[in-house]
Amino acid sequence: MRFWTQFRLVYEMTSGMMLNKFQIRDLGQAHWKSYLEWSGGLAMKRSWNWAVWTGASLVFLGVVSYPLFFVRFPGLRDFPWANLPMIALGLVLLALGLVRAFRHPDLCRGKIFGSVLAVLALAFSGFFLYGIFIGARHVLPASHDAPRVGQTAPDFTLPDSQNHPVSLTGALNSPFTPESATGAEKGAAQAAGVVLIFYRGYW
Amino acid sequence: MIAISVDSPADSENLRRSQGYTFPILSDAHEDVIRRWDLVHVHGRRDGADISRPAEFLIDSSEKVRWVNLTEDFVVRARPEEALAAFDAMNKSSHSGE
Repeated sequence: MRFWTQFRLVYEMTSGMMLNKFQIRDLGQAHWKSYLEWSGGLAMKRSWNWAVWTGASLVFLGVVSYPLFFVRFPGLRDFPWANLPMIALGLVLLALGLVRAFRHPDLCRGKIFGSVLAVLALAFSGFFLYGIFIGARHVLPASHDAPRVGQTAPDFTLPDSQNHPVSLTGALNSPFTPESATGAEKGAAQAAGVVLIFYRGYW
Repeated sequence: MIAISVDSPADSENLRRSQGYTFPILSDAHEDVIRRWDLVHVHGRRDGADISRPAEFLIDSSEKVRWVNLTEDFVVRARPEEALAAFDAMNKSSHSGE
């Protein structure tokens, strides 16, 4: 009712007419109707397609977060449990946003940039999926002649990171003293074995 | 534990420092050992250079290989638990009359 009261006050002040309540009501309704038409016309100004933007960002984040963050967790690195749902959700949102943009182009933006974003997101996720499931597998050599269980490991001597030579035999025969060992243990301990890790390097 | 790659000693030392590793990282720049162990991944590096494929070995004090892990997928590596389990198995069998 406040609207009508204010409306009446303004009207009476500006027009000098004293209105009865029915006149106020009719005038009010006429003005309200024209207000609605005006704002309806404003709503014809198309709204921002948040679904497309959110979807595309989620796909991008889903792909990029794998090498930047999730690789640190072995469970999530071996299989991208965290990233696949993000990418899937992003693609779904993108699709929904695109459908909306095409069905209601008068209400919602995004036919062109949405389509561009969708293509980019598909390419991005395709590249990621290929890399993880195809590229990282089956490209490694078979290494049939690598030392097998039960064979004697070929000895070698290589420089360590401070250019001191280190040999396999030397490492196996040198005393192994963890910081936690007591004085007596230190004298007796000897390396029980060596875990040798060959890695790609160039990280 | 010993790590080996084709990286130069300087690069390996940087890696050691930045990650706080205490084990030795050896430098096999000419892939002599990598080739001897048949682990060469030809053109495995982005610039086309040869590198080692990922592989882990457990070798006992008599230089025999006790456990090998040659991953099919370079994203999947041996977990510490696997290496430790192999180590325990090796110790058990060496104590029970070898």
